[in-house]
Amino acid sequence: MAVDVFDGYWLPTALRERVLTGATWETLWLKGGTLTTQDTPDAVAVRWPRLTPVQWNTLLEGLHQARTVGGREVLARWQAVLDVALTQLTEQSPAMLPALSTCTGYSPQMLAMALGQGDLVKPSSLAAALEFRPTWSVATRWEQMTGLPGRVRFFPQRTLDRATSRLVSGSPLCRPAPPIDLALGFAAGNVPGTALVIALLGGLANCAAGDKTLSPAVLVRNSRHEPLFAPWVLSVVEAIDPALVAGLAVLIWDYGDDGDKDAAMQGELMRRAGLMIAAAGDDTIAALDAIRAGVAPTLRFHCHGHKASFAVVQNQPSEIGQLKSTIPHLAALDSALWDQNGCLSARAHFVEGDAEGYAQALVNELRALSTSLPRGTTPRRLIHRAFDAYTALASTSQVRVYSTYDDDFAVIVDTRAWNAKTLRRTVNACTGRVIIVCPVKDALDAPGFLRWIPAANLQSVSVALAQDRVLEFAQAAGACGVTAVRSLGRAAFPQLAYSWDGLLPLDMGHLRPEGHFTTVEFDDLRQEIEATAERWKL
Amino acid sequence: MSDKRLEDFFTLPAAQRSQVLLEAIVAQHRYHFERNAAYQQTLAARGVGLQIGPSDLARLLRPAALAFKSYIELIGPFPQDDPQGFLRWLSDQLSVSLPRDRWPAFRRRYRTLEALLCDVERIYADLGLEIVTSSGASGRASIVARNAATVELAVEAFFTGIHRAWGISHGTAMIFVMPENTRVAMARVARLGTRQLDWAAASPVYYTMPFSATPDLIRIRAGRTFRPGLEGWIEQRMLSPFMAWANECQATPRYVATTLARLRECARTGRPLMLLGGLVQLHAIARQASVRLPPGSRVATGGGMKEQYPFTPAQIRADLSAAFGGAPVSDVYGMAEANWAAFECPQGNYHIPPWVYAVVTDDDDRIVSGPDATGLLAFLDPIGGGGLIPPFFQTADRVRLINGGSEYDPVRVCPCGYDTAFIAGNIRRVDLVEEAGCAAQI
Repeated sequence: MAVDVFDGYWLPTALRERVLTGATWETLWLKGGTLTTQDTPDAVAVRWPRLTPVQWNTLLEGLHQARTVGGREVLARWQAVLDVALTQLTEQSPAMLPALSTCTGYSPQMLAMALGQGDLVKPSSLAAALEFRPTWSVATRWEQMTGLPGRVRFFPQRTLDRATSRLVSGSPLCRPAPPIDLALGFAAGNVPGTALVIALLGGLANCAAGDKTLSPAVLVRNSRHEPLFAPWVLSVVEAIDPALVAGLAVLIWDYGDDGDKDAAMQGELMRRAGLMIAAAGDDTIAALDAIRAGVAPTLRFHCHGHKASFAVVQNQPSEIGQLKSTIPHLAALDSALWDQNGCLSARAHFVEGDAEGYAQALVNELRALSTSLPRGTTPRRLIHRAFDAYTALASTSQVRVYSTYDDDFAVIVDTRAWNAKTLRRTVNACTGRVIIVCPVKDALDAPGFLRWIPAANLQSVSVALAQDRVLEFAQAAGACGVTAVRSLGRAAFPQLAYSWDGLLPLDMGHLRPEGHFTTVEFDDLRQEIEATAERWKL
Repeated sequence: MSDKRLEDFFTLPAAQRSQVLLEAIVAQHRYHFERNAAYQQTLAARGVGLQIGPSDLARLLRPAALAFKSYIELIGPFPQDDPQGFLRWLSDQLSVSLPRDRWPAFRRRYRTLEALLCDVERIYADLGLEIVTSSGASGRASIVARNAATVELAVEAFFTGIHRAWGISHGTAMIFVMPENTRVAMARVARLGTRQLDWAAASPVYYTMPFSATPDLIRIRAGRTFRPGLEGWIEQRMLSPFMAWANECQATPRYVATTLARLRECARTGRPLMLLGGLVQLHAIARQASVRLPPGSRVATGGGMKEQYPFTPAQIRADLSAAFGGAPVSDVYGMAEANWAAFECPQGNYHIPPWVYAVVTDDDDRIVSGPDATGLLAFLDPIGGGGLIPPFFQTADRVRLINGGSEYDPVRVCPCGYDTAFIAGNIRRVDLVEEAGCAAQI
């Protein structure tokens, strides 16, 4: 029986024949987000080319020569392409979503919902963010990126930088990085779309070099577990504006079956690159970094390793409190999307005010989401473990489990005195739609908890707070290592113009002292929450 | 409950065997549900009551590690600091009563976990409590209580198993590369069993680890969990490195020398022997010298790999076979929570005793049907599990199970001829989501 084999890679059409002639192919079978075997019912077959060193040379040369776009034009053209592309993607989605769903294990409804928010990707905002030229004053106060809502602040890593930032507050924080010919990317597949984001950001690496400098060629290692999304979107984009993606390739470049040759090939790619962006697990990051340190120690490396995110909610009468019926709905979405398999999903929810009412409302919302946004194939066992573990603690009357064993989520309120170990176990338990609510006297107590997690593992916090407390909260959270504060309901949809694990878009093309940017992604939280609620009416 | 003895299950036809076991499971469930607070609490929350039907079987299974490590969340990782809290926890785990009028006899605090556990055994000596632990490689051991009846069943299960699977019986010398004084379950059962069966009357029994291995010492040596404050600082900065050094430079040479001396002694007299120990410990011996073991001897490994080690289990087994004159090398699969062990046959399959109703569960905790099923191993041991704790557990080990539960396909019976459910191939511990990507486990 003939089987459809999907392409899990993407190359510009003009290069395909030249590069792929004589290539050998690797075909893998995927189901439920894991690699499987051909005999697994309904498994999806995906193939990648395995290139020889000569073919790699041909590809890199071809990508290099095919570049015709650079400077501000890049994002302007992405913005121009986007509306048409989204329409086409929506039209094609009935054909693609079943395969995407089978590969990733996420429900078609969840994938469709995410795809439906494509308008949240705003290249024009990204362009505005690229114009930001911070001085050291951004290390001393919250500033605005011109043309963008929200605020940004830099948290220097070195004590000396922290101490002297006021003295040099007028000096530029960043300096342009030398232009590069090649940006490398490495994308994990636990949530869809990472390869695309990296491809887009990698193309901005020469942003500081002026409009006449072309964007670098970009070569992104695709995920074996989520190989279809980026090739699909890039095919649609190419049909609209071929030049925009003429210097971009999404392939597998870690074959993993021949240690020395594999490392040598990766090393060669790193030697040629000027920037490497990787979103992956800490072990993978460490392995990439080890190769980099050996062969290309000057290669700039933007790594996005293991991260955890949280929600902080003031659930009591206040300006935000008036949105009481909206808050649990948005909070549930922040943990339900991608079933907490992504770094953006909120794990523990810190709640000021009526935590029990909040938990009960979360249960109702998550039950509704079970139908409208069903969970994927993440083992239900993880929910059961949390349910059993916290049920065993219920006798202390400090823990209450609000969901039932048959719910495909768990909601628990844990009023015990927390410490670093409690928080660590909580973070680890919150996988697969498990929400542990931690009541706090004051929402500003939450950063005190987050301090127990290594700064390198902290990512974002989605909030529902009184507007006048937002910056105070962001200041405390940023000091712990949190890099993004966004409105409740937006956890899974960060804006590319803002901080991703401490890096702003300008960091693609600039050098600066060690530290992280923390961004607040809104001006008026109430408005943002209302707009988000309107958007997420499921 | 069933009046069958463990030995009887070897001769029961498969269909009848599973029927007897299912009836015994129902009876055991009723017994424990009425008496065991922790079991009742967990199952009631899962929507299971006193009466159960076939569809409830999966819901009787409690994760083994969760059940016997739950004290950590309740009272912290050091029960010796809160003996009353520990007694409350222990009392909830048992289906027999721990008379409360004796609780005042316990001290307010103990210096060590071992001292507390000794007092539990002493103060409740009339219950015949024996407290065993998991190996505690994570620094946080499962604490499992057994009583005289369950110990007797465990001994019967273990020694029946090695007799049936490997032909080991009285007259075979036993060399355990283990400390004689430890609570680690397999070593404890070996010690109690050889005593109970008076093994030493017919052949020698040796323990060649020259030190005791209390839960406290194992924890410190594991180097992952330390006491708070100054005591913890001393444990982490001084005791743990010292123990690592002492293990490598003092203990290892001594147990290697002692074991080799015992092996040579048996070889001289031509007495068959069973050498049982961990892979790493046995490898240290095999790398030191070769001894041709007498015919009928066997090398048995157990416990899996607990630490980083530069050799794979397959390499170690090859080295063991070469060092011990081609003696068969077989593995034992067991855990503190189980009152049984599975013994590896010449085909490389692990045979689960016929009185154990073994199944595998899928990612959603449903029992996987079919005579060849893969998932997390779970077991219900209504006959051999005894009446102290509900013996229905789900492990964290992913296995391929043949002819488990009520499934039986005569074509799939192990070619070794031992007609029980068996685990084919590797046993893989599943602790975390495998494809975590950027989502942190901290």
